[in-house]
Amino acid sequence: MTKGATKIKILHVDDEADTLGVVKTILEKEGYEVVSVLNGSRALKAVNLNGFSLILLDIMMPDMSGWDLFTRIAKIKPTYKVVFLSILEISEEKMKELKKAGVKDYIKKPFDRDDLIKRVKKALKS
Amino acid sequence: MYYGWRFLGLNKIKSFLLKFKKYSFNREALMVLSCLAIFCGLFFVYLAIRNSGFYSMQVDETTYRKMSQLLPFSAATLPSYVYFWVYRLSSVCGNGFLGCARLLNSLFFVLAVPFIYLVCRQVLSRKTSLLITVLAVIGPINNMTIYFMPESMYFFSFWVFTWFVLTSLLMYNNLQESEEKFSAAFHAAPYLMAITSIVDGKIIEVNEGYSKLLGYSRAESVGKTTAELSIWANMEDRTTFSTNLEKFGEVINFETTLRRKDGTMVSVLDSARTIIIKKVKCILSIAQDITERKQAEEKLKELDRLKDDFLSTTTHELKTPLVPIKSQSQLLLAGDYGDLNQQQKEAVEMIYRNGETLNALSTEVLEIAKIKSNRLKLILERVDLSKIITEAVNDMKSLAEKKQLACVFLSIPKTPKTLGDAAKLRQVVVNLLDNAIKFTPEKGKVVVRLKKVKNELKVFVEDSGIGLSKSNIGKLFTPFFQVDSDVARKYRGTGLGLAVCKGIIEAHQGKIWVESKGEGKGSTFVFCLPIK
Repeated sequence: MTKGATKIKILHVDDEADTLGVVKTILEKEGYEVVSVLNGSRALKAVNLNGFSLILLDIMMPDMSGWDLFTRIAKIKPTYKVVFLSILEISEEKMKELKKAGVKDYIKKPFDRDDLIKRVKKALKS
Repeated sequence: MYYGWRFLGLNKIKSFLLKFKKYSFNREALMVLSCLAIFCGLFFVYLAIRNSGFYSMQVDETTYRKMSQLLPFSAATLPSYVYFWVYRLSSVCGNGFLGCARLLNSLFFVLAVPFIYLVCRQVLSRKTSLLITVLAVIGPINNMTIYFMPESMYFFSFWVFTWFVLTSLLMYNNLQESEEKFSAAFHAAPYLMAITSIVDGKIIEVNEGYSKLLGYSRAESVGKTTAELSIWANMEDRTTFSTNLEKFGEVINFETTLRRKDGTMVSVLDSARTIIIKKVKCILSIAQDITERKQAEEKLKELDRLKDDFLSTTTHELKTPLVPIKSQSQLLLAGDYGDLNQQQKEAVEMIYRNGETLNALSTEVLEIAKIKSNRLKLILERVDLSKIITEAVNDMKSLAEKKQLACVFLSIPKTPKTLGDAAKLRQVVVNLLDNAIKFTPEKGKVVVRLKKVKNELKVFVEDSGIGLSKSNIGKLFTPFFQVDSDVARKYRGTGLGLAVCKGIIEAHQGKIWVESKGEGKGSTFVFCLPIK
């Protein structure tokens, strides 16, 4: 990241505060600006307000599942890049389906630090 | 059988006798009566022939004409005609009246034996049929009257006996009775039963079970088609049902939904076959209410779903705390929070390593739970096992290089594709390789071989590692079993990896086992998959 340039903004939605904290630490070290929200409705508000380059979504959340959130975001801002970040195991078939729907990647938790950075960068480039 | 009886004029007698059924005659009395009637009838025939001069052997054209005037030809007078012609012929033969008649009569007996037996066999057991046949033959022969009776009388006695047998059989097993039996079963059956005509599809008869199940009374249904009553909830089902019925003559346990009179639905198992009633082709259908069973099945499925949900939620909850544990220890180790001294570094490494173990454990516990409850879902497709192994070997190469192990894969050209779940098979190979690398000392080697043996693909994962004792070989694939050795303790795994492998391979109808020449002599894990 060159200094002075506006930071790339990433939105992270997860119902676990600790996970949000860790992801924030890792990605901010890399020079991104991370906005962390704890639930789906707040995420929708944030999406409406700010221009994010990437959205990291958890799947199993109490108020709104990651899938629902994804379809809603896709309706509001179809150009947003979305990467799922979840514990849920998904089959390769489901992955293909998601890619078709426009999901950039699916990172499984617990993630590897370097792997997370690498895949976030890749998703941003695509 | 029917034609035989019609030929003998029995059907007329039968229907005549059946009229008596209206009165409360008991069956035995009726039988005796009918036999007496037949006997008397025949006796009159005999008398008629005798009086006509037949008995005096004037078997010429005049006698014949006289007789045919007296006795118009019918089934009842048939014996007399046969007899007449026999005598005519015998006199032509010139063998003398008595001798010839005796001979011919015994010939009739010989012919009668299979006839009586076959008729009896239609309705009676083998033993009883034999008994009746023997009695029918021996009875008249042993009868002392044979010597005193006039020849023609002797002949009649045979017919009387035969008719006696036939009539009694008829009485015991008349159609009316079987119809009654059928009717009783039809109406008393706890299932829906209906008879429909094939020609116009109209309902001919329904039972009480039908009314109970569908709510239509008998009067409402008879004469209408099922389409008019809109009984079938699903017209596609109806079409499949009738096509199958046409094709195979019967349908057994066809699962479908019917609509009641009040519009509610009922799940049934429908069976049907074509029958012939009064020369009309009909369908007899029987349907069994399985709504309750269906509901129970639904409940079970719901429970299954709950169990699945529970399992995935549990793993989710187990893994959630691992996310910060893993990430934070990685951040600590990378020096993001400042440099660590050697002791701190080791401590954090320990946290990290154990976090990883816990992660693997929770994944594998879920896998085992799925396998144990037969919920392992395979996504089957044509897979190239050679490609899967190559990928797995490449993935594990870095791990092998760390220990300076040679890791090679020897494949065969043109591996036939087989049905399998690529991701799961890959998991098996990775697991086996992981084990092999773990338990092989530095500078050893791990060789993976793929072979085609008959109709199977065999994969060998061979290592030059610590090997296995005989007692451990058997237990290796049981969940949570761990070989107790220094090396094993050092690379403590979950103890579930091989159990998962076994579950996956067995779900593919394959086999997995391990071979080892003993401790310190390396081991070979083998699995085979049928080529499908």
